[in-house]
Amino acid sequence: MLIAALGLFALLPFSVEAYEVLILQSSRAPAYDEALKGIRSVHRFTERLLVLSDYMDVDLQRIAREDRPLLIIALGDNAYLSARKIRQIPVVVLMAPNYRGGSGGHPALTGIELHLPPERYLTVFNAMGLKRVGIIGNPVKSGHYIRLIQQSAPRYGIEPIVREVSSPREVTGQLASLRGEIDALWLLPDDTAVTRETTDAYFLFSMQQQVPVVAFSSAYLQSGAAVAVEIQRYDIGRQAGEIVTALLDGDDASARAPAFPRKSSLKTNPTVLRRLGLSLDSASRAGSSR
Amino acid sequence: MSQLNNTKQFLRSFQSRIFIAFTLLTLVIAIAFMVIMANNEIQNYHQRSKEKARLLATILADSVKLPLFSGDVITLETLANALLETPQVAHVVIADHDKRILVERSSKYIHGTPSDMTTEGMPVHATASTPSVDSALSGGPATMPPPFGLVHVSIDTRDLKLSIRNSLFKTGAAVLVFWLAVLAATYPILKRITKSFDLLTQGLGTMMEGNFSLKIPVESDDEAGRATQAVNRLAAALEERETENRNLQAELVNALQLEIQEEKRKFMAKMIQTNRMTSLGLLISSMAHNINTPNGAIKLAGHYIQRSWKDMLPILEGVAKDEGNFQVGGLQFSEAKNEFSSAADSICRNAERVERVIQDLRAYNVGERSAFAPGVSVNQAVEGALTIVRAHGSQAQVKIVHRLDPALPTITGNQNQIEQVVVNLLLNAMQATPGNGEGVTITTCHIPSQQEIQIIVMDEGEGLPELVAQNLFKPFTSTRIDKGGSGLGLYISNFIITEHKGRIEFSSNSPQGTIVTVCLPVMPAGDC
Repeated sequence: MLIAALGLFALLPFSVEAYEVLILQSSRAPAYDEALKGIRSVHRFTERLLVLSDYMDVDLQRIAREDRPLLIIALGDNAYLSARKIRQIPVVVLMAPNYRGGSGGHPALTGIELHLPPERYLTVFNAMGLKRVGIIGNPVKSGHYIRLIQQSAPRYGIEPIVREVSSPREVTGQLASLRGEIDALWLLPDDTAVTRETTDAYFLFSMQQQVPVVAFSSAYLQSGAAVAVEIQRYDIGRQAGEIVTALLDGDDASARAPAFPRKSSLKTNPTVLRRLGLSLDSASRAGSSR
Repeated sequence: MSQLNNTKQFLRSFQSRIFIAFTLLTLVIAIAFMVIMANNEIQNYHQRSKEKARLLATILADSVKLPLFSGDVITLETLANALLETPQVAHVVIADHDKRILVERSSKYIHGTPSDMTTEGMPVHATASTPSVDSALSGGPATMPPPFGLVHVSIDTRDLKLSIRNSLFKTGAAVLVFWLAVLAATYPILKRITKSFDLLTQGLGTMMEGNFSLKIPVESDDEAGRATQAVNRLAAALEERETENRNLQAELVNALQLEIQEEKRKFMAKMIQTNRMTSLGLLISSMAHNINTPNGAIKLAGHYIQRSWKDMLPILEGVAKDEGNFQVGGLQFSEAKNEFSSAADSICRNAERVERVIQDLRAYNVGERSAFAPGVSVNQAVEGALTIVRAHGSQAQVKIVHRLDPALPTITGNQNQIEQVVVNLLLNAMQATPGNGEGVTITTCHIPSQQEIQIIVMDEGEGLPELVAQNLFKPFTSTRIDKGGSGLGLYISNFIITEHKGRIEFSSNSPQGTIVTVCLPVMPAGDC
């Protein structure tokens, strides 16, 4: 048995045909399949798909050394964290919440962030006539995005009121400090500020203070969010596909800055909006889907 | 004692047994029902108390979610105190994920032992439907995080136990009332239902005393009614059978009386016949004496005539020679001398014959019947029998042919008895023969190979009917009882021949008639 396993292991490099792109996928999830579909719709290339959750441990360095792909596409946080260790091959990152645009010292790492541009949200707040927007986030994880918000908000007449937390247990306290101070709550994709345990606190606050919660995913609409502005995974895939095409055509990855998603979709919970006496005009809806 | 008998009779009663069985069964069912209900009630109470404790724990776990997560002990205490205001809630514990107790409160109003409490614990989870940031962005499945706290709620169950006790008491009372009602209702109903059986058993009791004319009233068309109808039909059939039996018995008695009378008549006829035979014997003795005397004189005279004729014949022949033929008794001497001689011989012979007949008759009548002696000639016995039969005179038209074996050995036995047997057989054969030319043949022969002598009597008569053939040797069996037959001839004959160690056989004489063979052993006298 052991001899047979060793034999198969020895034959492994020769059994895999040469390919252009190594696709690293954190797990098997429909969202990744949707994004991959977007990539493949732009450019057809030879590939090898490696789902990390299928293995206990993957020697990615060895695979990269032996297969020598031209490009690595990383889908998800785990794939991003693994791929950025392969420094000799360009990496395109997408669908990774912790990818904040930085290359982390990688010479050729680029991709699409999972955060929408703050302007999309600010347009929505503006359309609903909400001026004071409360934001809770961990400066370590969301500091860059918060700064972008603070830079763009004045252009839309929005005043961001920011509370920083370093632990989820601080969220309820910070929420309490926002009582009477804000017209809306902006739920950031920050896994310190937004956890399963703290989510209820946001919506309890929303109910008690009669302020809408604008979330980054439609998954929160059923919990009590009034509006959700979320990414379009297929289009993120297409956006990444264009980068992959360019890199395979010889472009330099280091010269490419990380990009925000181009398109978003706006979804609402009409019941919550009606209870809070709010409405969204058609212009803001149309703008959200650009 | 009387009380005890009444009780025993009551317990043996069909009605009482049904009543007791039914009431006991009802009682058992009622008790079983009560036990099941009580058990179910207890389980329900326990289940309800556990559910109540679990529900309160769930509510508490839901309400302490945020303050427990943020470590807000003041809010936790407020929530715990609020829950303690709920009736029956005795004790509340709120702990964090390390099982470190943050809040523990007990009710001021409820003081019970742990056995009086029902405690339920509930882990504190985040809302299950809320996604994490990662799953919300990636669209992956939501995973359930570990609980971040635990709550325990204890409720006082003493009220529940009291309720169970009350419920049991009420159920027991209801069961008792139900049972008493069943008892009160069952007896009249049972009495009404079993009325048919009562009537049936009473009727059967009357019938057991022998009164089958009773008609048991049929009250209903149920099993008892049908049984009553069947018993009535049975009683009617029994009564009819009894009447028939009485009639048959009367007829039997009458028939027996008639038969007895007939037997008596036959017996008297036999007695008369016996008496007649006795008289005949006396008559024969008397007649033998009266005949023998003149017969002796005739015999003497005959001999004298014979001797005289012998002396006179030469003289008379000389006279006839000298003087010529002359007349004697109307005949010429030449013819008369032979006739005279023949007449003298005939007188002597017939006188001797008369003497022999008389002698045989006397010997037959008063001879030594039971003595066995050697040297008995069967042929002499047959000749003696022939003499008697011929002298009897009846059936004279029947021709008797006898073929006697001259070389027949003698046997040991009683000649008179053998003669009596032959007489019986000859008379039977002659009586069975119509007489129109047919005859009876008697033959004697010796069968050396079997060491026996046979006397064979053949007739050409009407043969033996089957019924008579089966009962030949039984007494009083005869086809001629009405003509004076005794039915004892063959019975006695068989007895005599059996005494001689012999046997009598009957067979059919083709084309008609009967052959009777008497077989007698040839044996020394000492063997008998």
